[in-house]
Amino acid sequence: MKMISRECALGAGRCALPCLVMYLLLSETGCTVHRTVVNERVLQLDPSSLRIGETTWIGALEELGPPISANTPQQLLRAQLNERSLKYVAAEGKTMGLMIPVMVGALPFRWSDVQNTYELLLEFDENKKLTGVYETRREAIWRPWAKEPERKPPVTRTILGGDRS
Amino acid sequence: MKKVISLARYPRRCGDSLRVIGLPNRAVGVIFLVAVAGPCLTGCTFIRHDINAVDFHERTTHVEVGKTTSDELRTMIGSPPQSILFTDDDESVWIYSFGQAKTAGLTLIVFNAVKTNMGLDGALFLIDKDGIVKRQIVSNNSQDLPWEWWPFDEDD
Repeated sequence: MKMISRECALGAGRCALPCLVMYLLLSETGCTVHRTVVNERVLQLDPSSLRIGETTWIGALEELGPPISANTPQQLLRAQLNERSLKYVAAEGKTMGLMIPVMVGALPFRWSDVQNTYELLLEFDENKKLTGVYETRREAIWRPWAKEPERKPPVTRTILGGDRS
Repeated sequence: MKKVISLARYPRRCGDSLRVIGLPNRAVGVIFLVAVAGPCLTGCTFIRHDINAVDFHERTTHVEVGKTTSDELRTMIGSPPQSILFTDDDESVWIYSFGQAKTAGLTLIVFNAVKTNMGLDGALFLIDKDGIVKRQIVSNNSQDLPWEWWPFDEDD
């Protein structure tokens, strides 16, 4: 019994140094998971009170607020608005980073996927009356773990009026 | 009868194993301590980004619909609009945008979890042909943004 314990101890001692080196090496390896959510409150917009042919452009603005179709601050700096449509966007970005140490310095890897996860589009005719309300949902995936074929296809549906699905 | 267990032999065994790799016990102990304690040194990250005027909502509270002129509006907001949309009724829509982002993170050296919540807002001022603010519409996506660091949700 005593001999077995001593052999175990000797074996552990032999692999202690390589294990230690490996551990120190791995401890320099870093993994970063970063999720960005833009305008999550757009998901709470309720267009059910809008009426096809009745609601005006300004009426829709008063009901739903100013549209923000940007998903980055840079896009925000060139605000877009027109009298034939209003578009509300919520976006999501998923970024995974991996830092692998090499002999000198480090080797960074980064996978990022940014999607407009929700889009609400209002269309108006030439008289500024509402003609259709559509919503589209997409999903952002964690690359590289999730592959492109695993991404669910975007789903667009007509909420009010319109002639497209 | 109390059973007495001697622990004297255990340190000796440990010492035996450490001597095999050719390092003194104290040095190995220090290395192990650093190796174990290093990853436990955690850090937190808090970053706040303001996009355009920080107090935009507060500035718009001074605007009086039906009274404030476009010149006064420009002074109150502190800048001309980002863009202007001219309508068919000789009216114009002044468009401002602003926002805020809050990033929180937990840094564990080997694993960093970070989440950013961003709210981008728009403010529209409908100016009539006499140059008076007729309507004011401001969104509040950037108000009361939460600080969150956990990047996963139930769908992940």
